[in-house]
Amino acid sequence: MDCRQAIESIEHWMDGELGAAEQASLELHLASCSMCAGVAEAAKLTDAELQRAFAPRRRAAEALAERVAAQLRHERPDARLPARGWPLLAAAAAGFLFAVGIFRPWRHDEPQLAAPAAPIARLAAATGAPELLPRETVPWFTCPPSAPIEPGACVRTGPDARCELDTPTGCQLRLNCGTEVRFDGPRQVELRRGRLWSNVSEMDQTVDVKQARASVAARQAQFDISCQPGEATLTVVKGAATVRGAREQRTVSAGEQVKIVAGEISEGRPPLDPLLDASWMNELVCLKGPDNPELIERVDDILAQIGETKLAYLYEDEIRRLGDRAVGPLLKFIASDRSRSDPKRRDLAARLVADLAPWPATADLIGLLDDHSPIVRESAARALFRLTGRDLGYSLDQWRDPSGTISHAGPQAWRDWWAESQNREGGLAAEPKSKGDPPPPFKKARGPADSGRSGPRGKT
Amino acid sequence: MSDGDLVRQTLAGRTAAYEELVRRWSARLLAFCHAKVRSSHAAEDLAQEALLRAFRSLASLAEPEKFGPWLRGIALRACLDWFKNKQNRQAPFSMLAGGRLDAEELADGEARRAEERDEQVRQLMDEVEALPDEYRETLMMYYYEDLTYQELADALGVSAATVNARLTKARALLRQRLGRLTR
Repeated sequence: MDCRQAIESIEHWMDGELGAAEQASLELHLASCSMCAGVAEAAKLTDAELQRAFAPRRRAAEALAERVAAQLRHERPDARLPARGWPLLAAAAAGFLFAVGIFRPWRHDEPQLAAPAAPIARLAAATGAPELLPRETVPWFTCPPSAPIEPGACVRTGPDARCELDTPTGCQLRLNCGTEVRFDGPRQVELRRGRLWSNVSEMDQTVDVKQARASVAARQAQFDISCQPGEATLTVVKGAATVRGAREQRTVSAGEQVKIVAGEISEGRPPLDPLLDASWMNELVCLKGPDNPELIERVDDILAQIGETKLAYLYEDEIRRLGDRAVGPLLKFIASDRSRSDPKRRDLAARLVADLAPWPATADLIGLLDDHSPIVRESAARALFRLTGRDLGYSLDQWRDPSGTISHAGPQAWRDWWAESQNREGGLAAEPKSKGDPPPPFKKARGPADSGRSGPRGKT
Repeated sequence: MSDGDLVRQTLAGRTAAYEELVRRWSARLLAFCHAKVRSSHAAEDLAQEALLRAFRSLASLAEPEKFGPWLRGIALRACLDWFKNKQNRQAPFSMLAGGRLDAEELADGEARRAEERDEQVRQLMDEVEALPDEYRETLMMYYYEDLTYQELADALGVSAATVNARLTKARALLRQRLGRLTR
């Protein structure tokens, strides 16, 4: 055997695919050729490393088989479709079954088999592996993705797992770590332990908390129930929920909290920071992808809170020194409900944004042109002029005018300009090339009719 | 006992027969899904889903002897769905170990995770997942399950010589990428 033949045979040999004679010949060659022996050594090393790398995967395959086998014990193959090649037999069987169905020879002597119940919830997302107990008579097993949950089934999460379950009625239930629930019916859940957040749709949903001898019913609401031995705490986030204790019934509105101990309802502490209280769900919300509206809303709210904190604890010049890093939180603060009750701080935020906003804030600035506050409108227009060198024919006086003479035309002109600018740039408006040059001063009191420029001029 | 026999027994109500099919096919199916989606965690979910889907629709299998290719088709569709939903996808469940409360499974999971944490192994597995499609699939199927060239050739619908060529090339690529060039 020469070196070329040896090199070609090495992988066969390593994989046990060589015949006895070829193997002997190769081994003889390897004993006398250090180069081929080196190649064989490298090949064996790679093979050993691959074997080692795949060892956990092989065990995973075995574990997979066991998991599936365990789950199969709760299922039956779909026998509704007839096997092909047996049409006559199937027809005969159908006739027989029809006759049996009519005469019902068993009468009432044996219980009828129940049809499989329709699922009343489905596992939608999880940060750990939740477990499912379809019936009390079988052991818990790992809940597979999108697993249907039937009436009477229980779901529990381990110490590191959280999960979300969706119901066909449009409700979402989120289970924190160490939580167990039982689905009693399509809109009836029992919280046995842990913490449950529920977003209830237009149909009523009831959560029983037997530990605290109470139940919570709601419609079009969001609430959070935390259950410890002997007591429960209910916080309503949106809408309202009705709590039924041992002796009384009470309606709890958004932002309120009650404590229930042995069926007695009492006031709880009002939630200090709803964002912080709901932070355990962040991981679940993130699983739904970056475009998920709930995630966007949550991030906006966090930014708005940061903006509010900056305005409350920093002097104006300190915020200015932060530069455009301060702009995102300030913009979200202006757009949020947090700023509604504090117009002075809101206007300050707008003035800071007018001076600090970078080009990527253009769309947000255009969104502020409709604002009810003249100062916010003017600040947005000022920032847009600074960034684009355009006024689209509207003066600062017009934006500032409290009577709102600018109406919808001004903001609409900017929206059109922005849309056209994006289209022209293939979906992303480009930052003006002449960023370093200061734009010409803002035109004084002039209407769209005077300027003749109601849209963009030239390429930005 | 052939796959076809086991399929027929399952349809006759003997679920244990399908368990045998699952044990026979799980490694190959897991390798197939892993090769397709290049993520071992997602592959476990997809293979599990494919095995369960196949069980639920077993009566629609026209030729019981062709259970393997049929199962592969189901797994392929599951993988394609996975790619389609990738952007909005939720957590791969098996990535989320730790929820099972059985002590043995937990211990087993811990041991497995500990091994996977090994940096060298991780690097190698990353490189395996980055191999070109045909090399990746062949190599994964070979190492997931101890198959002969001929068995692998049958499963992939190619010749044994092609299997050997692909394995040789795949290992050479891995050696190159991991800096152990053969002379």
